[in-house]
Amino acid sequence: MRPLQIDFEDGFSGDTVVIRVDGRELWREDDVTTNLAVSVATIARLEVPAGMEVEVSVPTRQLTATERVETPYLEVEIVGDKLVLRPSRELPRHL
Amino acid sequence: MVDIDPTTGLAEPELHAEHEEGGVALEVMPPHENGASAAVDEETAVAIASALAPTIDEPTETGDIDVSTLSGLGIHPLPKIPLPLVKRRVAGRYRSAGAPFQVELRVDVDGPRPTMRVSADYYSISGGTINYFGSMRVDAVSVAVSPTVVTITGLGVYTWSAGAPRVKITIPRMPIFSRGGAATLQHLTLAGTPGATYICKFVSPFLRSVLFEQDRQDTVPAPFVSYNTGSLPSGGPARTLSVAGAYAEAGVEMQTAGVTDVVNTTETGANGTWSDAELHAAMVRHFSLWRDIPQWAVWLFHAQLHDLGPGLYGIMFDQVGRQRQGAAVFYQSLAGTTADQQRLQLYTTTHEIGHCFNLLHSWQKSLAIPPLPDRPNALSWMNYPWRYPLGGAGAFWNAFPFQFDDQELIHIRHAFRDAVVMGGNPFRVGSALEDPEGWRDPIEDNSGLKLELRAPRSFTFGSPVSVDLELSATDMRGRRVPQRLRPRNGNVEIAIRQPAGRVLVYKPLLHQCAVDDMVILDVDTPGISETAFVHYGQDGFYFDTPGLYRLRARIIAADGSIVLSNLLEVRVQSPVTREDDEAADLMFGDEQGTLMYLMGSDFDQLQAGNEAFSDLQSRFPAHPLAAVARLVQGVNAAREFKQVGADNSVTVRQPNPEEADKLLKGVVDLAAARRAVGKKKDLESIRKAVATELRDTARAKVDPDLAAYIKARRREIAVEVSGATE
Repeated sequence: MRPLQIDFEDGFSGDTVVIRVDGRELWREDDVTTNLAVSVATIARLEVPAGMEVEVSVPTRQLTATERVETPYLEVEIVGDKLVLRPSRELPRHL
Repeated sequence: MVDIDPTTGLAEPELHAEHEEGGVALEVMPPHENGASAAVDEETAVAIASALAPTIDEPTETGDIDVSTLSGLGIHPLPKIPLPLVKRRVAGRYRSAGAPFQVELRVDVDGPRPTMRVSADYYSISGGTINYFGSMRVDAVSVAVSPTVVTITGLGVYTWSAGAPRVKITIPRMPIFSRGGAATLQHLTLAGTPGATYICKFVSPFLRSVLFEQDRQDTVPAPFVSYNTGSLPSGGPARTLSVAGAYAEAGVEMQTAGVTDVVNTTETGANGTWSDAELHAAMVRHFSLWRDIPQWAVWLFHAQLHDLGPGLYGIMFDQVGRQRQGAAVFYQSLAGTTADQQRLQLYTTTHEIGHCFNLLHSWQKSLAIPPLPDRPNALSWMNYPWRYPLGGAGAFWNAFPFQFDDQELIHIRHAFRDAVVMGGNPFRVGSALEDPEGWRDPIEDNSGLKLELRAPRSFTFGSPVSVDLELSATDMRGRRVPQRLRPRNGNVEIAIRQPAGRVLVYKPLLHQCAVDDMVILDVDTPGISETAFVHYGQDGFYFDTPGLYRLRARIIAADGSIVLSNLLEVRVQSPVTREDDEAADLMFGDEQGTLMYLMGSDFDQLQAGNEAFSDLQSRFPAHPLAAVARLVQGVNAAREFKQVGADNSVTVRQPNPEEADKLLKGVVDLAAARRAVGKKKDLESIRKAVATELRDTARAKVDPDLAAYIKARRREIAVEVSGATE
């Protein structure tokens, strides 16, 4: 297991977000809304098996995306009608 | 409600009063100074302004040294050589005195990074109290400079319906070492008749002044002070900048104020980190200048760590109630004395205070209400260096001149007060200053979208004006647009040119601060449409005089394209009969406007509006405007209405379907709505069916202008009258 921080950033408005790894739901949060002053909606801190595929879904918008994450950080944002996942080796910064 | 117009000094009803004398209409509009005394001509104004400025001798080459002292040193004074007299700039802040109005005037035509604008805030004076009245801005100025005076002219936009919207500002040119001369602000009607005049003494070269209080957490021993921008490569000249220095360059004086506290870490609670709520509580406790009102005062808290973790460098946390009065920066990540860290501290602190001025991130300007195109490439304090699309953080820092971009500068200096003052509008409402360029036809349009604006050709004077909007794709490969075209959602704007030439952008009474769902316009969904109520909003009534109005709408698409509609002409008919005149008179008043906006209300403070609507129905039952009153009051009768008393007790007035049916008969076809509902059971389906029926059949039942109003408000009507269809 290794730590994974997932930053939900731009584009969320009253959404439900769910994180699954290997089909198992690890994390869920309702009413997720981007705070425009910092471009962060919420941050999830998890322990996941190394090299596993992480599925992020936003059921309130029927959006799902998966990514095999090898980095300690994953940035997630909604751009138009797409859920964009961006693995990162650096801590995402917000101000 | 505006009682007096500071541009004319007259009560509004008087403004348009015409005295019939022997069949000749005479417009009555005597000029006023400070809203009270007669206007002055230009020469007199300049003379007064010069007289008010302190007398200062012209500088000589020997400066302040007494020449007689030079002889004793064996030095003989040099013969006098005439030097060209250097004049000081006129840019800065000016303030008038007196009553019933005072003006704070900002002149921005020749200082650092001049935006070539002037703006002003007006304050009403009543006894010992001063209240904010409204703001004005001139976006396109003409500047004439003579050896003795600078004259600035232009047409202002105002937060109220100004009777004398043109301005002429004259400022004497003073020697470089003297204090600035007084500015004379002369208002003029569109026809050039003088209105109110204000003599405004020079206050400061800064365009705004903000009280700046800073506190620190006990674990932050050394909050940021300043950074030399030449320490690392950058895109601007090297200079030492503090937060106050950065804002000084933007034209804002940040005056250190209040009491500096050291905040105990125990205030973070058990976890040792700050939540937004804890930061807000700390602000209320430690910001000695804090009051729950709009005021030019801001609090910066130097703290250790936010609940969101070390990735959060800073936050404008104050987003409840009166917002934007406080920000915090976090030293868990920012601490350090290296040039990199000092630069980051300067950037973060200036950035967070920028949010307090209601600035959004550079790539999020389209989320402002109303929106502007995003500017992700901006070399601005409000960007994220690591998000810079043209090369990331390294490229950003190499090119960054440590300043706000031009549009942000205009906002900070000249936005209407509530859009910028701390504690004014909620964050992002009015955060992007209107861009006049954005209303002109683009040189090239590859947006793939077409926006059409339609309305009945004419409206009865007093009848609510609503317009149809239709957005369609011209490129069927798919264009992403907001699902609903509603001014109240902030995703469509409608500009209205009134018969007198004044241009306003419609501002709804209420905003829905939510991010809209998007829809793809393509072969399957080629277009979306909506009807928007634009009759009454934050500026009052937009169609308050008979005549020809020109309207244009625009949306900003997801890719930043500005899509403009056709120009629509709408005529508001002049009253023909005495009955028309009296019926229309009963439709105007802030209470009636609010009732039309809300589709009725029992609220006590709107009682005068309900009385006017009842009066209209009883005196002129067959008049078309009576149908509007019946609709508004009928929909309200159909709803349950809760009121909270002063003692927090809640009283509930139950729906009155009989009264609703009686009022709505002849206005809304409830029988057709019942047929449309059919056997639908769930409330949402019933409401949708009723709304659709109202949209499709309104035209057959009532006049086109009332039908447009019903279409614009069909969802609200459906929510209330759905019960009557069961």
